[in-house]
Amino acid sequence: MAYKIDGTKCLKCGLCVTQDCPEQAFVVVNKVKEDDGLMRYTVKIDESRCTECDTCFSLEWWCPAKAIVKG
Amino acid sequence: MAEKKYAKYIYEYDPKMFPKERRPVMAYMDNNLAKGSNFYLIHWILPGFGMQKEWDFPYAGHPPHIHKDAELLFHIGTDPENPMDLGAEVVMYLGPELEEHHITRTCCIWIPPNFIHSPWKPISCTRPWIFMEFNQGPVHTEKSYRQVLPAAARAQMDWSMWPDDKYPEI
Repeated sequence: MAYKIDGTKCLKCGLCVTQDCPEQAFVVVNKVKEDDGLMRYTVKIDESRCTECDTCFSLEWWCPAKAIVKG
Repeated sequence: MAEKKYAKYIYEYDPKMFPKERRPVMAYMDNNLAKGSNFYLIHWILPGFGMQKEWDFPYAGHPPHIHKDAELLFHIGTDPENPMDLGAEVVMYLGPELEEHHITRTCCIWIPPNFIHSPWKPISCTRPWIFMEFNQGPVHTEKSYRQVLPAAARAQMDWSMWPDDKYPEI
């Protein structure tokens, strides 16, 4: 079962990219600097790297927005 | 006379550490001061703090953010006859949904690592009280989540005061 980022929940904070994904499967596909200086990142989970180890999904606050979903 | 052997373990807050600090800080510790120490900040909240003109709009206050390590926010009332009464009211929003809470009692708010919290803002104060901020990590870290604020609140905040601190660039 693949893991995905729910675009309706994702806050585009980019934190997932800096977390300790064992396979570094979180990849930035776009970044934008907003008017007040906040960086927003569009991130995807690279299915070719993800081993479905469940780390990102099972750790309660791995994603502050709980935007990582199964399937 | 030679200094006592263990005097080095007694720390007094030096206001020169943070010249721009507006709050009456009583104690500060972190791993930079004492190897092995977590982050601790203890200060008074006096009547009027948080109610300044520049924070007079909905969702004003210390803006939404996270920390790498868990945080404990102790709100401590100072009336010895009624120690559980905070003597103040603080608005605190929790989670990305900005769930609203009003704190009027002595308490501790537990903030898990990476949990979005704040705005935090005192909205009334009848008696000075003590705020204690402990991080279960060696230094204070903070990453902004201003994107959860309504656009109007986000536009009114002075963001120069709230940089992402000690979070890696992507």
